[in-house]
Amino acid sequence: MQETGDSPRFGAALPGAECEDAAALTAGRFCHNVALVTHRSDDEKFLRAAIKTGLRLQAREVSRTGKSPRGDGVATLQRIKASLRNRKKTSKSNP
Amino acid sequence: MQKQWLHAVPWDSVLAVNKALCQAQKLDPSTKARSLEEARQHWESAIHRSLSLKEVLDVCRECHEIAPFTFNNGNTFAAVGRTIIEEWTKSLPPVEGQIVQTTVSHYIAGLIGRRELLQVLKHFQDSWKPSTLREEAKPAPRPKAASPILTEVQPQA
Repeated sequence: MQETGDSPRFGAALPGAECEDAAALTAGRFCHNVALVTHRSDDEKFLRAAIKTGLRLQAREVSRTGKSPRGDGVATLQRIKASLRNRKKTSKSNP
Repeated sequence: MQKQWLHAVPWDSVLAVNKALCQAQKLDPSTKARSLEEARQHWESAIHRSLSLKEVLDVCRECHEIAPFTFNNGNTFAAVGRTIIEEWTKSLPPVEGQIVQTTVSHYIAGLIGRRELLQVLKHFQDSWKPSTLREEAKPAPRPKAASPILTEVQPQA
């Protein structure tokens, strides 16, 4: 099968390949992105999937408990600060 | 089944997962230096080894117990463990896949013990094959006659 000169040559867009004409250059830009997505390494695929899974676990945890894991610590600190403030107030009012 | 489960999971990926989870909660992804180094060594020693599924889950669980991360320590290793078995659970019906994934994350986070994990894995062990293998799998031919070595020698009268 013979290739026509006008048809976009997607293969030319792959890294390391050369583009000969304007059509190839135009298509090449599009194809470069496709190549980046499809030629993703196993490491990167795994990482994306793991982050997605982790975020889902987080969301489930928040929906179950109704608060983020940080909530406990912040609430405790706020309670301590409030009690200190109250203590100062009472000591000022009763010298 | 023995496999290099962690070949696509360098330690940097584990760090990146924790960082992403902390960023999602606007937390500083802080670590504990000594535990981090210990967990890294443990993880990297397992990367190039062929392990059984139980062994790789043990690696995740042990790293979780070392607790290298201040925040999202459990979620990080549970997410990694779940993703490791994701390809395999796809061959199961959705509900069963969910059961296996939840069991695995609970095991890694220390919420269930080894016995529970093995019970669940054993239950799904027959149906738990990748689709390609399942199609190709054929029953092994049965031996026609018992090997003379294994047959019992009749005492002569």
